[in-house]
Amino acid sequence: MGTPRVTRNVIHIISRQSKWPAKDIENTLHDEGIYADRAAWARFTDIALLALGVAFSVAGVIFFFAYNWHNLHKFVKLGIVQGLVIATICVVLFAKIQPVIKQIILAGASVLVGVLFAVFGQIYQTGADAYDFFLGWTVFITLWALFSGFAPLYLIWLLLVNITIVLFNNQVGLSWPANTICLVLFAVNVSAIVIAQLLYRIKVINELPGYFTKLVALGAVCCITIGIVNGIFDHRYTGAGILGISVLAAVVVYGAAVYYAITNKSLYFLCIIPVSIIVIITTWIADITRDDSGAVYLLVSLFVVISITVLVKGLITLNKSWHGNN
Amino acid sequence: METINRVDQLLEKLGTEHGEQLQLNRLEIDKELKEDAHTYKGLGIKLLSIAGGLLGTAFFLGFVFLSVANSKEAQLVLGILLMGGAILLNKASKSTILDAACIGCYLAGYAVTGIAMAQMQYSENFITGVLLAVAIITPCITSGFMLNFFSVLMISGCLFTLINVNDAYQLIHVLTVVVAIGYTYISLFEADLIAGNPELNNRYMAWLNGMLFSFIALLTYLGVRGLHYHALENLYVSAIVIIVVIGFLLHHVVRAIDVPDERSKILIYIMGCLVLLPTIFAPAICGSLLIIFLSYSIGHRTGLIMGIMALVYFTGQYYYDLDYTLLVKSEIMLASGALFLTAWFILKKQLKRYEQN
Repeated sequence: MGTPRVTRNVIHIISRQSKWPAKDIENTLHDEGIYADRAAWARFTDIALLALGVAFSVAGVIFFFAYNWHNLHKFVKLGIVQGLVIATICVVLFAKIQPVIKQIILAGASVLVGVLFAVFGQIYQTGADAYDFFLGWTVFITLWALFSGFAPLYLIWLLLVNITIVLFNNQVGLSWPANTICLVLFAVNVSAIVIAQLLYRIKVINELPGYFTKLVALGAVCCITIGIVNGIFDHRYTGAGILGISVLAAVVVYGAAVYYAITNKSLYFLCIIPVSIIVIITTWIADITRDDSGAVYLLVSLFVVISITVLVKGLITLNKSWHGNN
Repeated sequence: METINRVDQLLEKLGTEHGEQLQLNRLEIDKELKEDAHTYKGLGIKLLSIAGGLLGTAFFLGFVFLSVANSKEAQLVLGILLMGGAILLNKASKSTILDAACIGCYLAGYAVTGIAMAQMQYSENFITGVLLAVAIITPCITSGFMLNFFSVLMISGCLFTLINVNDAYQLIHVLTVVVAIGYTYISLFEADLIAGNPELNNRYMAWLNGMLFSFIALLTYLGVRGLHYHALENLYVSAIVIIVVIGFLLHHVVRAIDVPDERSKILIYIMGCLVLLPTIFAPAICGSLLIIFLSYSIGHRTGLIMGIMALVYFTGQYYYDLDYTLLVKSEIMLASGALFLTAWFILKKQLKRYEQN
């Protein structure tokens, strides 16, 4: 596993520039681990069967309670879900199985906690979509999420936090405008990345896959971009205060992220942040011209294509200076 | 550096195995490898270029509608110029830098030409035929990734439009089957295709991805009832052929990975049947299973991710569209879940053994 292997592209290049027989190319694709071998297929079947089993079972349980069967006594309803939660957690705690399998089961149990709260809300009419439903769900899976070491569960947890905040704003009556709520979500998700990185550095969590940071960062960038775009269109009516803070927050966080990306030689942030900036500038051009003439569309179209081209050129040059041999 | 050493080792091995017969052009290989090492091939830049190209196209169309809306001829000339310019630009520069501009011009070219011809009162069949011809000619002229990728999408899009324009909805099954078989063929016979012809080799990845996305688009049409209403009947026609294709793929994989005993082989086929039979009225679901199996088999990450996303979405959509009560749906799901978990439990030990060697 440790030795870097020849990539598919390299095989294509060699094949292009030689009379390499097809059978031999196929063998190389197998030998280099590009095509799945027997062990890979066994692993695939293992994970796929378990994931499908857990997903279908949890979905079945959700549908079962969504049906709201009146003949079933409320204690039986609650008992079934609680029984399932306890049973799955016992499996996680006591069964001698691979960690990844325990993690998948724990993720299933976390979803069941949501079902439990939903059933509770259904029976006692607390309103199943109220923010306290999501708040309860979030709070009660926090410890599992934290100690699971399982990035998909971190993501589920963070998604719940985001939903709770949005519903809290809508239902409790804070009634913040859209750009304020975007700013709050941006702050929450950026903090989540920073905290996760810190916990990883001080080894409270053992593993932090790149896709976690990337997905959360993408979410955060979308939030602040939507917030600022919204602010640009609405600032004449809602005032420029929040817009100013959003822009300031974006400048600070984007600056830090770009610094991090350059020092860590990672192109991901350098892809998404400029896109966000391009979208914001495009909106700003549309807002200041405030007219529907063809010239504005042409200007925006040229701006988008040229700025993306310049960005791609910059990224390729940067990549060359990082990884190129000369 | 280590990767380069691995390449050297591979080339050395090939040299000793095949000798002069190989006709290895070392100079060109080194040149291409050097270029390859310098290009960032991550999905990020491709997505960036595509997003830029699509956004640019959208705004450019706004400009066309507002500025040259009343001159059909000007639009036609503009459309042809845009398409021609995109193809020439793509042919001239292999770099990914100009991708956004190429995609923008190419797609805007299609749209403007199509609109201009529609204003000139040409029939829909004629317009689609012309655009189809352009999409077929483009890959003959340029080997650039993006234009080849979008050409494959345009070809399947035009065929789909022709079927819809002529109300021959049942032909959608034929198109789905052709795309499914084409996609499977391209995936499974990669070695034959890239060894056979350097021009094909150059375009291989673009066509593979183009077929993948065309297939997903067709599956979406088949899988979302709201898209085809009652126009399309007999969904099982596509599903059966896709299931047969998956059967062929299973057979191919069983042979390739050298399953040792007859018992395991029979078990694999029985499990395959058990998973696939319930999807006989849901071509979108078995189609996404085909994508997952194929992509995993040949190590195509984009395909695998798209396939998993498609499977989740189409399964959800299928249950949503099903005319049963929630209780019955829940029973079906619990039964399926129990089936998968039982299978996992029974096979666990055997799978573990294979995973370790």
